[in-house]
Amino acid sequence: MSNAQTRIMSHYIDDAIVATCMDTRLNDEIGIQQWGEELYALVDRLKSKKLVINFQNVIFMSSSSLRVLITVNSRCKGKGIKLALCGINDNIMEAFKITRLDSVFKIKKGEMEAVKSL
Amino acid sequence: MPSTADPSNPPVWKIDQTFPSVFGKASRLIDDVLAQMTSLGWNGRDVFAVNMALEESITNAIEHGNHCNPEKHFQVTCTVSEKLVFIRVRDEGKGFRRDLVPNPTDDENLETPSGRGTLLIQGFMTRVRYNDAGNEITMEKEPTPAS
Repeated sequence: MSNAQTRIMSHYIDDAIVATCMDTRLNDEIGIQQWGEELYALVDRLKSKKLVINFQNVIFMSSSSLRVLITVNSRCKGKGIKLALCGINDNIMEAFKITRLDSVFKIKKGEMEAVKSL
Repeated sequence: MPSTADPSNPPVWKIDQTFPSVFGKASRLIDDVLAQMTSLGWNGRDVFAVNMALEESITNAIEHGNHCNPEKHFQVTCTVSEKLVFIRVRDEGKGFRRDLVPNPTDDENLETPSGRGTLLIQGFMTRVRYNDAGNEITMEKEPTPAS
């Protein structure tokens, strides 16, 4: 995984914030913790009520990163923020299906589709 | 050290190493296993599956088995051939009973943050079994037929 401070890049599309994960592999525990802290901080300071997390760069995710996403989802719900995921490759999508997390998250192919779904 | 353990048909690549319970210590082993699979023609989906199984089983050994105590060790044994990947991970913990772990796919547990590692291993691998003590997991992967 890459260095701290570069794990997420954010930009606006319309009134939604799109947070793109910059890591290609979300597998090491320390890196996932840092990635999670960045996401939690983003949610805490978010003014928009719409958040998209883009995984287009990510080729591997472990269960620890799924755990972070569940916490992010919970925090978003607590702040009334609508959340969608996009850019998830077929292998990682299989992990979402095995864990039934595909029924918990709104998952779309691309950024625009994800923004419009919120 | 990796070796070509069985020169007969099919060729088998084998690795057997012991690590202290520190995250990241087995990264090189995982990379080596995945590289061997790729060189033997395994498809990307199966390489991903084995990657998942190795990451999750090793994390479980460190975190739940050995409680992140670097004085305790875990052992990883892998063989890779064209037709089968075999993985065994053993820790020094007291073991666990899988039937006592809440099922994270039950509706009431869907948004519970933890408990998905063993489920992912089960989902991605062809066969999974535990020893009686519950501190050793054995996993096998056969090639997924082309769709």
